[in-house]
Amino acid sequence: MKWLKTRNYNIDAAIKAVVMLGFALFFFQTIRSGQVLKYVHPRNVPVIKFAVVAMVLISAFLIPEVFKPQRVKKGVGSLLFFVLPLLMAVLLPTQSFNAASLSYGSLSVGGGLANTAVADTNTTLVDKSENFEGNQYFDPGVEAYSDGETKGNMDTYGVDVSVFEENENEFSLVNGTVMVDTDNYVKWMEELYDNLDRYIGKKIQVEGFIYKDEQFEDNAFALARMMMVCCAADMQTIGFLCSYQNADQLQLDAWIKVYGIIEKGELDGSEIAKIKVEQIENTEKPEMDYVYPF
Amino acid sequence: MKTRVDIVTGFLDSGKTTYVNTLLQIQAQSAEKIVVVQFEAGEVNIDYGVQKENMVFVNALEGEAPLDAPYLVSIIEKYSPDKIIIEYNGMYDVQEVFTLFEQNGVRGKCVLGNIICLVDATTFEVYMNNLGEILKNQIATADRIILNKVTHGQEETLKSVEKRMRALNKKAELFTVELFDDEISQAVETDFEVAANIEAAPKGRLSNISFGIFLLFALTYLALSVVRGLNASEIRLDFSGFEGFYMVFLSILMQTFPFMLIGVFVSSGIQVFFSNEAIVKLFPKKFGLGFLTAMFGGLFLPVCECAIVPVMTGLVKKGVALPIAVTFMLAAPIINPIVIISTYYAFPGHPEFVIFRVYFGLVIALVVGILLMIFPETKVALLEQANSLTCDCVYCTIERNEKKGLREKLRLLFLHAGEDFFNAGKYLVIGAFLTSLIQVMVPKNIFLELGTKDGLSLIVMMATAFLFSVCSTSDAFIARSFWNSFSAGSIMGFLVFGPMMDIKNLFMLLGSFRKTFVVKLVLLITCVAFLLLYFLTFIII
Repeated sequence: MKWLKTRNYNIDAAIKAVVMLGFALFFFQTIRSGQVLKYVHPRNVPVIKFAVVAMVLISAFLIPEVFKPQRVKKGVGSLLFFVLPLLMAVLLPTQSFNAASLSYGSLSVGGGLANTAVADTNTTLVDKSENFEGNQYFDPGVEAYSDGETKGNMDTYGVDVSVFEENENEFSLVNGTVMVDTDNYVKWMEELYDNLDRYIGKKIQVEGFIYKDEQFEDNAFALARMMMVCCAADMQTIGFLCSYQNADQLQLDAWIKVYGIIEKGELDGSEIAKIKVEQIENTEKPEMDYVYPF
Repeated sequence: MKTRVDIVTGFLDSGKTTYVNTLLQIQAQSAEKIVVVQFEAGEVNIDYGVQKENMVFVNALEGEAPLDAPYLVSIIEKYSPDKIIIEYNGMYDVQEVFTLFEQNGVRGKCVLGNIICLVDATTFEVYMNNLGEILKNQIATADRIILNKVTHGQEETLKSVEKRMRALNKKAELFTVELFDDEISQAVETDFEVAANIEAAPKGRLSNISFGIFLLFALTYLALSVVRGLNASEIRLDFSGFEGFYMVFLSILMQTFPFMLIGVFVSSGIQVFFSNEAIVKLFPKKFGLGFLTAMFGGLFLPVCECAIVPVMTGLVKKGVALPIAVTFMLAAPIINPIVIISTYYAFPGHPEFVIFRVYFGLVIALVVGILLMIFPETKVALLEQANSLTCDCVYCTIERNEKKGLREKLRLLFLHAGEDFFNAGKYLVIGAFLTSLIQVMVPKNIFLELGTKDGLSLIVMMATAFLFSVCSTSDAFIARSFWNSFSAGSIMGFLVFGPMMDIKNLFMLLGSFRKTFVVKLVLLITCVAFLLLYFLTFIII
């Protein structure tokens, strides 16, 4: 290791180049696998692409510097600040938040009809989903991560970017049913809040996870989604209020698809849409489980 | 085996030759062949008494040879020594030695060993004031600094000298020597010991750090494997807190790094492509006009608050007056077109949010700037290490005198951007780390509950903005989610104060400015913002 002791190589530049390339690679991988949407809102994706290019370019200029003598000796210690998050990024699997993992999950409840665009194979009708336990959420996160690597989920990404696409007939009903999916979830929630009377008595299909709050009545639960406004630092739980006679048997955080009728409900003294549940279908948590407003 | 080249530098009378002489006495005991090259006409001559057949002395100045690649190579070819000691006049630019070692012909033949800088403690202050740049350069590049002529009873001055040296060079080994002067011959014995100690001192802790990084990596990996293993064997641990933390942490970095990169490119562009005069002309010394540019400059320099601190520091270094630079720092992230558009989208149908945000942003920026002008900083606000004439980055100090072509400028732009990114970025990482901790540990409900109490809500929203450190390009969307629970006035507190000051910017400011100035600035901004916005809450509601 004698070369380390001379100053003929610029170790500082070498570490910086490695850190830059590491982050560039991490950003590139998350964009390619679509996992980037677990971290930030889709509108950030273009700037992150820019960052990848910029970091690769800076490294390209740094690498020749490695083979020049280091002019000013600097502590390498401060670069540890960058190594730590890089290690986290590389070693730890991308996670999804559920309502419990954020301490400030406040629930806004709207109302709506729905459909689910998210493909699922599980069609058994259950009252209680046994195979979903609280901790389950950590493991699927790991799987989702490895899935993303093997399948190269360009498609997933393509689908999720359509959050941006304006749907011309976004509030039109399919066979008299309000079909809520990941892309139009927030829009429907607002529409049902604003123009509730127009939709009373209509059918709705919507998918989400089960959320309960102390202020709910015994037969009530919320069919919730995690909403990302900006990045993972501001996840919020939003959901449709549902009434269901066996609500107390529902497992918290389990993913279900609800078929129901929209009616008028009340929460905290304000009038909101409520889904009268007719049928519940057990589903799996979709790979991209967040919804993005705006 | 490549020849090792040690450089001994320092001003006249700093004791270079004496040091070399004692060094030679030590070397005389080994069989290594040594060439001493003097680029110096010192008062003390090389002590030929120690001269043996394995030592060669060359005085380059007598032969009027320049220190360049052919000369060095010719010496190596002529004597094929094991070691070359170059005694280098302190008035020459040490940087030239580095340039020399970048050339392939030289790199193939020799390696750069130690750079030893001798400093005369008695004249340090004087030289620092008169020959600041040259001395700073010497100190900054040295591996070992020998503070010479230190006598008893001057511990106070010694401390301040050491402090100033440490600001320039954190890594070098610092030695203090009582007297390294030939005038007192009795001292030679101690000199010998000191020199031997210096020569034998353990070199750099670099390998320790690399080892540390490796160890950290290995430990983390090990811990994770264990955790995964435990999970598999049904021993469930609750990691939701930690998972929430690192996802939030990484997401903040993912969100801010790109904007930060844009910012460092802007600030590097300013450094590389504009002369100091051009920048100062843009921000005229006449305060009226200067403030005007500072307030609206952000329209054309779209930097968000994640990146504004490096840009603002760059402006100050270029010679822009501090109050004007501060006004620019406060106004630019709010008047940024992307921020205006995103605010408009976040509050559709409520253009008054955009108008109030821009209006209050500009007013607060101006008021803080004017207050700083009326009560100016008595001391230099920039930290010494950042307070170089143009730029403290390694690449600029070296090459500032050279005329550069476009290609060279582009290279500098990227290197400079990288340097800025790492300099400011570490404070960003610390800020993001703290923010994520707060987010995961403090229930958001607390903020909501506090906010419903009268009068508190503005403070709560400003504190939220400060603690959550959200980028100004997207904070409007977050502000919107508070809309139901908070008054419009306190949301304005979030929108206006957030881009001006938050945890990560605080840390980044501390990286370039004196602590007292930063504290004063933060308090000033907070008070002005609070007072102005408090009156706003009476107007709207």
